[in-house]
Amino acid sequence: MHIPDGYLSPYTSGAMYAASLPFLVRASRNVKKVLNSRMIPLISVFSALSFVIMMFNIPLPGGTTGHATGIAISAIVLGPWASILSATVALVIQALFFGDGGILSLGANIFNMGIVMSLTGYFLYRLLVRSKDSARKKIVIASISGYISVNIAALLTAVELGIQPMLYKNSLGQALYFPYNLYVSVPVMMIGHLTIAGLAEGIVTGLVFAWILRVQPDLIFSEGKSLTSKKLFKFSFLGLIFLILLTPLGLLAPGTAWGEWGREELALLGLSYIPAGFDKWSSFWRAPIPDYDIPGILNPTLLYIFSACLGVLLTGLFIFFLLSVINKLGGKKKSNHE
Amino acid sequence: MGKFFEKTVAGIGSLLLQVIFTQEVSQKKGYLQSLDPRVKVISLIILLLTVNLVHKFLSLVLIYVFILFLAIVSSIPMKFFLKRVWLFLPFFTGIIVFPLIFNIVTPGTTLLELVNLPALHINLSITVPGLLTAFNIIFRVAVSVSLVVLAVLSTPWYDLLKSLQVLFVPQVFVVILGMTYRYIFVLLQTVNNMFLSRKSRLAGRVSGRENRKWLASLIGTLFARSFVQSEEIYLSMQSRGYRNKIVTLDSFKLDSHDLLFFSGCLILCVNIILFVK
Repeated sequence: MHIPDGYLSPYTSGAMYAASLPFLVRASRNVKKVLNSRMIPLISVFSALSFVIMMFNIPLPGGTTGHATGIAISAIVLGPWASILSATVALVIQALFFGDGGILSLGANIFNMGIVMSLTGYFLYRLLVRSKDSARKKIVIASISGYISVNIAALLTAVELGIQPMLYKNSLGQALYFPYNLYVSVPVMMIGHLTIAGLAEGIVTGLVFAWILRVQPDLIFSEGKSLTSKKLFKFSFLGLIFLILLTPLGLLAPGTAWGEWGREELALLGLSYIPAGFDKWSSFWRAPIPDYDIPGILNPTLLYIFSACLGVLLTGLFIFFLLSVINKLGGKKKSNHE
Repeated sequence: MGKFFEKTVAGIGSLLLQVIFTQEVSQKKGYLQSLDPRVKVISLIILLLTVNLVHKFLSLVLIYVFILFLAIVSSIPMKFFLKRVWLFLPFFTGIIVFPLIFNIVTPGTTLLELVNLPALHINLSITVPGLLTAFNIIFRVAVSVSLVVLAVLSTPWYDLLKSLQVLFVPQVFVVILGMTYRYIFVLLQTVNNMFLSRKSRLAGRVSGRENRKWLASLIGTLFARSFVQSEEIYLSMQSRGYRNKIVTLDSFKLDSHDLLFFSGCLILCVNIILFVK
């Protein structure tokens, strides 16, 4: 899921850095308040642990192996804010030193994995679990939270990649960065994550949680008074709006139709880059949205902004929808118990 | 004990090898090694931005030639440098851009016809614009990766971290990054020992279920140990006089070579953006 450099346009990368920044500031403030001077050694050691967990090959049912990020379990054990910081530090070291993920795209990787996965992993667990739940049920819930959170992160990654060909093309209309649109990037990314990567994450989250619950249950983060989920929802929502606002800002920068590409002869031959294969498929998916011929936004730039906003909004809506469904399910489970 | 064991141990081994090798190269005498790391970090960002902003293949080639030149004058082992970039690329980016070269995805002038059965409406060929688009994307990724590898190979890790402060990375984060880097090796050592101790006690086959359980207990143990360890580090920091204040020795000094290199990079980037695009 680590996006390398060259897959995202610098404008998108910039927007993702800007979107990550408020979360990181908030996280370091929060952690500093709780831990004070203990923060430095604690975050360091857990960042190292996060890095090491990402290196493990997890044996999966069926004989294959897969990698897990371990971010969901660290969010459940350390709390969301410390987890954001330790995952971020691990991602920085991976990008800088080991070439896992790019430098310009680091902001996007931090956002997708470090921030979104920590927050969704932790809050899914919190929303679903009840204090009187049996240990077995808690383990299943932790595992599900890991599975869903890694898939949300994968979906975000796919959306970021998939909007690239819609936003940035050269004068001949050819892709400059990631070449496939959402109709390709989302299914391809999600197939891999709904199966192998999701399974690896779910297994690691569930089993490690089970071990900690059995051996040292006092390790697991319990929410203090200073942090309510309501507050956090408000905060995530603000972050989302911030992101939506920033995406078009990035688009307005001179990114489209900037300079010529390829040889002059190519242009003379009248070659145009139309992903005909995708168009065929996309008409099937696009059905719910009546054509792009919405009056007033025929201007291509505006159209791009519109589609970018739509992409971000859809992702956001998807996450909130998922959360509310899970919340309802959690409520039902509770009433069953009573 | 299954593939996961060998894979993980091999992964740890190759990581350690890479670290040792990188450290050796970064301490060689060479052009880039002699420069101020802060200048290198800023130049890296400028070059990366240029690589990702330009549209023409020629610009990417120009920057790549510049990178190769820098690698040669910095006595970076060419074989390793090229292998590190070009060995991993075809597996990721190569597979991703592969469908682009065909006429189904990118229509245009045909370069090579593969299958043509008009009766069945099957026509598969490789197109010129498809190939060019694919190459452009692969090359952009390769040049970006080369830049980062070059910077890392020519700069000792702690200097690189310290110089991040010029990019407004807070000092606390720089300290955390440095400490994390150190504890990665402590943890890797622990993990390696745990793997080996289990392997040496094992005879016969172990089910995947048991393996998963064991791996989970390993990670759980690491979590528990990490809490204890961080507490110990904190106490040892305090007993050595740590009072919530970080003091670093600022030994970096700019000289004319640094300015020359920086202006060289800047001129190259500005020219490429303005004239080649």
